[in-house]
Order: sequence, then C-alpha cells, then structure tokens
Amino acid sequence: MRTAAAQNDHASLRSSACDHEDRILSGWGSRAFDESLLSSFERDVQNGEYLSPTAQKCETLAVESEGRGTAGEAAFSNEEPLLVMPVMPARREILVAHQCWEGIVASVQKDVFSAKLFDFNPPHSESMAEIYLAEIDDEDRTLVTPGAVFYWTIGYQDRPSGRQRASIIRFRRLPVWKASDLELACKKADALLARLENG
Amino acid sequence: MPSPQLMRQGFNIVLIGNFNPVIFQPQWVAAHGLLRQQEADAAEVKVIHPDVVIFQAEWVKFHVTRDRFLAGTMQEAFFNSLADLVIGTFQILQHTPIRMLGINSDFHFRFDSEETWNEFGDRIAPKEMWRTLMGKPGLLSLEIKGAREHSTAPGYVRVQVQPSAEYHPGASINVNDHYELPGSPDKPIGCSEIIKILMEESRASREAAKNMTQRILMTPGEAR
Repeated sequence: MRTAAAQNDHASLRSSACDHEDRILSGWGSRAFDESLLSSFERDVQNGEYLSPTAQKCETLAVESEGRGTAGEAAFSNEEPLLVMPVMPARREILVAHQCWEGIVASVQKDVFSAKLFDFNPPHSESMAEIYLAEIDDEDRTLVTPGAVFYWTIGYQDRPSGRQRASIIRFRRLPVWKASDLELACKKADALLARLENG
Repeated sequence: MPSPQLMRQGFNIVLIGNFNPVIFQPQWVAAHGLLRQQEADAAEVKVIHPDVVIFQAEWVKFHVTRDRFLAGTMQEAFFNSLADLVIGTFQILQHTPIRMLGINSDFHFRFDSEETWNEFGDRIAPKEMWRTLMGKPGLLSLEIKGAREHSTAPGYVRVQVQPSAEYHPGASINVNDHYELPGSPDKPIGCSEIIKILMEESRASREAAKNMTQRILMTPGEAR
C-alpha cells in the first residue's frame, strides 16, 4: 500500500507526464517535466508497471482528482510563507543575448565572407558585414555559400569566473538532398513531362 | 521602482499527433544534416524505448512519445535554429500525422525585493476576497486563456504566471501559443499544414509572447 506522500507524488507525476492534450501542448514549463517523466518511467519499468502513453492518459483521468498540490511551493504573498522552496542555481551556462541578426551570405572570399544582416530588434535595420571564416566552426564551413542563411547572436554568459562576452554564429540547417532524392525527383519530373506532352 | 530583471528565456515547440519515437535519435538527426555531427556524438541519451525517447544535445532537448513531440532550448541564441530543426525534421517525415502545434515561450524574472515580488502577485491576483476565506493566501499559479492578437490562425493563447522555481524572488511567465487544424482530430493526413504554420508563425509568436510578458510586468503607471 502506498503512503499518502507517495500517492500524491505518483498522481502529480502522472498528471504532469500525460495530462489533457491542452496541457501537454504547453511544453515543459520547467525541466522538472522531463525529469519527473524519466524517473516515473524508470520506476515503473523496474516495478513492471509501465503503461503506454495512451493507457497512462486513461489513468490520468482517474488520478487527476487526487490533487496536485505539493508542499514547499513558493507563493506570492504579503505574509511569510509557511515553507520556502530552496532556490536552485541555474545548471547551464545561459547566453543572454544583446543583439541578434539574421544574415544571408552574399559572397565568399579566401578568408572572409560578406553578408547582408537584418537586425531582429526594432527598427529592423539592414547592414552589410564582412566576417572572418575563422569565426565559423569547422563543421559549418561547407555551409558558407552564397545565399546561405545564418543567425548571429552577441551577448554575454555569466560564469563563476566572471561575465564573458560571447558571439555565436549558427548556420541554418535544413534537410540535405541526397543524390538518390534528386534522381527520384528527376524521374518524377520526366514522367510528368511525358504525360503533359502526350496530352 | 526598478523593473524585474529577465534572467533567462526558454523556447519549445510541441506537436501532437502520431509519432514513432525511436526514429528521433541524435545520429538520425545528424545524418540528415539538421544537427552537427559533434553535437550528436556528445548528446546525452536518457531513454530510447519504443514508447519514449529523451535526449539532450548541447543546446536542444528532444522528448518524444507516441502522441507528443517536444523540442526545446533554453539558449536564446538557438531559438531560430530550434524552429529550423523542427521544420527540417518534419519536412523529412512529411507523412507524420500531426494535428496540433504549441509554440511556447517562457521567461524567468527576478525581482529586486520580496516586497515588489509580492506587489506583483497581488496586482495580478488580488487577495482581498481570498483573505475572507483563508489565512495567508498566496498565488501559486495563474492561467489565462484567450484569442491571440498577432495572427488569425486557428487556436488560442494561454498564459501562465507562477513563482519562479529557479530565481527568488522571481516569477516565471509561460506563453503557450496553441494552433489546431480545424476539424483535424479525426483526419490528420500529414504534417505539411502544421509545419507551414510553424514556418510562418514561430518568430511572430515569440515576439508576441515577449511583448505580452512585458505588459504583464508593467506597473499600472507604466501601462499603455
């Protein structure tokens, strides 16, 4: 028999993992979503209780009425809170963006490429820039071709050693057309052309 | 009064439909050129199971079950790349039946004092009535749903405000921009329509979420 706390925990895990579709669409809200689902999944597999998402959803309807309040949640209040949840430090280094541009490569020279930049922030001005290829990660160099789109973000990262300025250039990656895909497309086009020509 | 300080933003895209989770693995994404090979090699895979796949690459996390796909990032520099990644994925998997889309932005703010933090909570959820019902009422979560202003696409927008679990005294504001194909629950026939909405709306949705958040945080004297 489960304890009341375990029961409440089970209900909140279930409801956070497989709530009504409306609620599911709202994303994680916090990284607790993944971790709660993962720990729930691991525990259920160990206990031989793992249910498919569809089955879980049915069960959710039953457990929703068990309530989802948890002790220790912080609340806006004019009064002293009964319990204060410990503040968790951010686990990852977050880049705080100051300026973001979308760029389109205009031309590529030996060591630099020139690009047209569109500012994401109002008044959305346009400008031209020359950027050293050395700024681009080796694996992305093949993407630097005229017409390629990239995103350039300048900001800072707070680290234990102090605030650091950061610049990230990320090229747009879309599905790669393979030779077999192109061959198939050509065959389809030829067949379509033949049908049109034959009336 | 100083404005609350934006500490971090998150962005995630959620799709509801029918998925085969085991497809979504770091090496599959890299093999199609949507993620760098180095990123795929370094990805932390938490679960790969026919019913659920969860992995975290440097800047993006995937969380896929049979009826739900989520890709998200907490790095502002990669918000556009995230949309490209999802669009690219479902340009490849174009026959995946998808009927709903959530473009979700979340913001975490820190207030300069508990006093301003509580003033904000009291402003968005006045406590007078609650004090007649209970002692020490406090706001845990406030959720408002309405029609979106930035687009006429079918769906709605839902905003949730709650104390931040990461910053104290702080608040988090989640904006769920929900899109739904009309009459789609019975006959999802692929994902081209939903992905077209994502291509057209993701940037405007983020911009609208940011504006909405700024307006929520405005003190009455600053309101438009």
